[in-house]
Amino acid sequence: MLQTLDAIHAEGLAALAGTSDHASIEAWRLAYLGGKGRLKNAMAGLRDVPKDQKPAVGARMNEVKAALEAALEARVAALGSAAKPATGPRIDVTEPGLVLTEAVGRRHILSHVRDELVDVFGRMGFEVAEGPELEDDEHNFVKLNIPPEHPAREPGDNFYVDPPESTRSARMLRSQTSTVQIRVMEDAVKRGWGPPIRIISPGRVYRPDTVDATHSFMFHQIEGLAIDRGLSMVDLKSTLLAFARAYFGPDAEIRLRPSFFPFTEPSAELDMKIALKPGDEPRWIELGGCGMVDPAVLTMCGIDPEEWTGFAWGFGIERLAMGKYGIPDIRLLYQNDLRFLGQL
Amino acid sequence: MNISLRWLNQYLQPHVSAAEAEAFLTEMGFPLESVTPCAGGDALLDVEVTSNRGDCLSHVGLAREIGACPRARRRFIGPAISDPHHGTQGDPARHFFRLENRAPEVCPRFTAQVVRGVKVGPSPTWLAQALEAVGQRSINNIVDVTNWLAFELGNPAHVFDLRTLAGSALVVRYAQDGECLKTLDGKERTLKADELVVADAERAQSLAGVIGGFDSQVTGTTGDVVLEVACWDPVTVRRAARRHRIRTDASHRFERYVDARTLRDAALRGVNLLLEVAGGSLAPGLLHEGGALPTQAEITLRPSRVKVMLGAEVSVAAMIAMLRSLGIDVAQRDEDALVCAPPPWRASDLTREVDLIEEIARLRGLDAVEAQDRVVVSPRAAPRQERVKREMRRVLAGLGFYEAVTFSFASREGAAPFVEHGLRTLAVDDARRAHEPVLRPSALAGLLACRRANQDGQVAQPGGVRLFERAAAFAETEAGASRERVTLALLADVPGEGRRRGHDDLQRAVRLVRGAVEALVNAALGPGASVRCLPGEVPCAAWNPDAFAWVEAMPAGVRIGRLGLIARSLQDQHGLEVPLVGAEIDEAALLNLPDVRGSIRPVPAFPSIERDLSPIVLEETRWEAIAALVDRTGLEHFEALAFVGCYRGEQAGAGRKSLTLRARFRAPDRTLRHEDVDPQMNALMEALAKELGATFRLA
Repeated sequence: MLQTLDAIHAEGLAALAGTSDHASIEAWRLAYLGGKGRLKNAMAGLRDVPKDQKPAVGARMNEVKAALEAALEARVAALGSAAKPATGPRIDVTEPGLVLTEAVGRRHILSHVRDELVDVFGRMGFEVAEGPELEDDEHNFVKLNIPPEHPAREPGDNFYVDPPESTRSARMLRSQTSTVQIRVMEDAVKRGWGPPIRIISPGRVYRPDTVDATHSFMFHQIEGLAIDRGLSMVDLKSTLLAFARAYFGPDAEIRLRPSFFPFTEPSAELDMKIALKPGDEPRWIELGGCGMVDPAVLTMCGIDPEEWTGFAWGFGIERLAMGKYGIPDIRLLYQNDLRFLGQL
Repeated sequence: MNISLRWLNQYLQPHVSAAEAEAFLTEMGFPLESVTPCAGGDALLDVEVTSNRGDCLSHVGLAREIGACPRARRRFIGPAISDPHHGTQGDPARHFFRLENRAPEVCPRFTAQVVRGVKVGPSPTWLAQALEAVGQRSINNIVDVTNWLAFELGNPAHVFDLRTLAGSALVVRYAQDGECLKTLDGKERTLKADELVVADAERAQSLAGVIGGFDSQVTGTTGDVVLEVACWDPVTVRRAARRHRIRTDASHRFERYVDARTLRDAALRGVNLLLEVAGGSLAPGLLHEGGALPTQAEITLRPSRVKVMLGAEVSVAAMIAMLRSLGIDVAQRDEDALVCAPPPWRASDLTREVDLIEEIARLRGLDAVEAQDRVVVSPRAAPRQERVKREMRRVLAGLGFYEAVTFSFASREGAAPFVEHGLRTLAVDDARRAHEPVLRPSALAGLLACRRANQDGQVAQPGGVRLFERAAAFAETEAGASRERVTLALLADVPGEGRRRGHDDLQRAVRLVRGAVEALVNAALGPGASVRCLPGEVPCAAWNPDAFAWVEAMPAGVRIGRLGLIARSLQDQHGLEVPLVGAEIDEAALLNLPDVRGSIRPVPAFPSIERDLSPIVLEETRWEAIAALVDRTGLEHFEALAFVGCYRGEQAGAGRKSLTLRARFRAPDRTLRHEDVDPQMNALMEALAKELGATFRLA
């Protein structure tokens, strides 16, 4: 087995050196690193390796994989820089800028809707907070009171960068913007500026959903958090009702249904009776989740739940944008065809 | 979770209609995904059960919730459970069978009962129909009883053929590393030492809490059986199910916690049904092995705390009634303390005061939370960063750029040109992103793909397609520290006719993107800020080394990004027909700089004089050198310098170019005359000739 791996390593590097363009590099990648490539085939053979040799073979396999991937990156990079030295006229990047356009562009519908939401909550005293998309287990799960056995932690439901069982807090793409709540509370306590806290955090989140007309593996959420003395479910509901009326018009209604989230208790699903598009008949739309911040979350962030209470909510931006603008397929939002983007 | 309306109604008095079931369950926090009418007046209800409520993965659990729902006005009547061991004669189960539990820490309780001489056959109609109504295939009378238990009470069960068990024993133990087990689905599985099995005296016969073993399953010739009703540690079950990629009705329930105290009733219910549908004789003795049963937890609930969380007054009597309707024992210790003991089936999700507060909120109804039509606001200073970020997007849109939102992933090949020295890419480990596993090191990777999509769509824009995106870029240092930066990435076609682009087109396009960057910097920091572009070594293969610059914001002199021509190889990699100019601005680096807004000056009272000059300089002389020289020369009355154009050709000579600049002069107190400016221009010409070797054409 080790000999096979050594052979793949040596032959792979040699073959890569013989590539001359992107097409041949891609063919090489498929042959060595692809789903049916030599390395994958070798991996399949791992189960026949005697138990005592498995760690060594596994380690070597990872080495070879890393080496070939690195070589691939270097090869592609080298192909890029092999440009001929300049002769004749040279580009002068120090010439001053030129402001000139024959047509105006557009902001993306998602950023437009994001700004609208931020504005409405901004008028209610909520400030924008942003946080990293590359998160860790601690902020995405532990401090949100999501215990190790919780189904939300399934590797199949998350994009992990480090193996979830790794000893340090495994890095992952955040699966929810609630991570920002944690970072803001930690920061407020550490630097002494709060609570009270009132923030909203819009941003990208990642879940390995199968892509269809209404699902994507990357989408946008907006999350709100209020922490103060004496906040209750009445404040939560009042805030969401005020939002619904400000954003969708004075006839909007809201409804809360009991639900469960590890980081809020009591928890509720949030429905709004709204006409997403002007002129539509209002109907109940499931918008997202909300609830009172779980005392365990406050405690983990260093906030005394006996003194402070809070509420939080979150919903998807795509859903609002699609409803409001009658967008039939979520994929249109990420294709960025100018003929689509230009319609807002 | 599929439930049958008819089955549900077995435990409710009076019965509910499908619409009522939906309304009551939704109100209690169990919304319905769908309602499908079925033959004979039954209906299939697909109920969403949150992960904290394993007890509601059963008809009894959901009927109990409807019974507790104040608006439903239904009475919950659980199945009657009698003990058939009581008074049964004959040899006790211990004579035929031995039970051992070596892992009570992860198998808190395992019960076993022996029934001899069963007759395996088809289930009676009521049983087969009930299971089929919830989408379960009827297999035989014995197996159907175990499925019934899972769907009725939420207690998964399993039956072993006693004859196939070596040593007539069941042993709960950890697997031996490498131990093999053929499971009910016919697959041979190799087990690890941290997995739990139910074994006979020799080998594993089921993967605990997940799936039974093939060799000990009930067959047409089975006579004597062992009925297992047990509970398992959720994490152990989850790990095994995940590792073996099996999800069963049993693992689903055990992962959500089954309390050891619920087993006795389930075991008796199961054996009664078994005797009813398959005959046989019970060997008396409900065998059980495990640790001590969990004791009933006591939680103190403060009515004052309920008021804080709900924002409303609820009477103590009403609280007590609500909690009792959920099977919680309540005793009032004093005015502000109710001592509550949740029932076994709620042992995992009712452990804290706030859990009880949630129950009161739920039973009281969330509609009863009265929203106010005013909210309290404390005004804050307008947040500069948010304002600036928006302003920058508006500026770019005004300059013809379309905002794109592209995925944060790239293929290895797509990411490679952006990998910088000393940094590595990060990737997710997920088969579904096998083609694009890399967290992109630059948002330009996404914009290039987006540009290609527009090219394929034959999208044309006057002046060429211009795109931008605000997005995070990811990398990792060699020491393993991750680096995430929010950048504004800009990508613009080099405008021109057809597909060919000459030097002047490229130069102009670089200036256009630089102009956009300057506009961004002004939007962020004010009109007093400017941009300096420093030609430099390209940090990665994405950029054309002949037209690349680091971007600094002035006057701070802080590097905020980069711009330049996209490398030809990268253009080809994406199959793009026209060359492109890109830029990346590090948002934090820019926004962390202080505003540059001086005090406002009145407009000048006197007109200016402008003079053009066209020094012929070496090709490699940059505009910046000329501008710096003008600054240094300290011309009297000098106000501003402008770039007019650059000319190459015979008159300039080979390897040289003619740059035309425009100098503006003004005096604060009078109108300048040409005689005032001539000496300044002469001084400038001399300086250009001396320091940059410039020559001058006669105009």
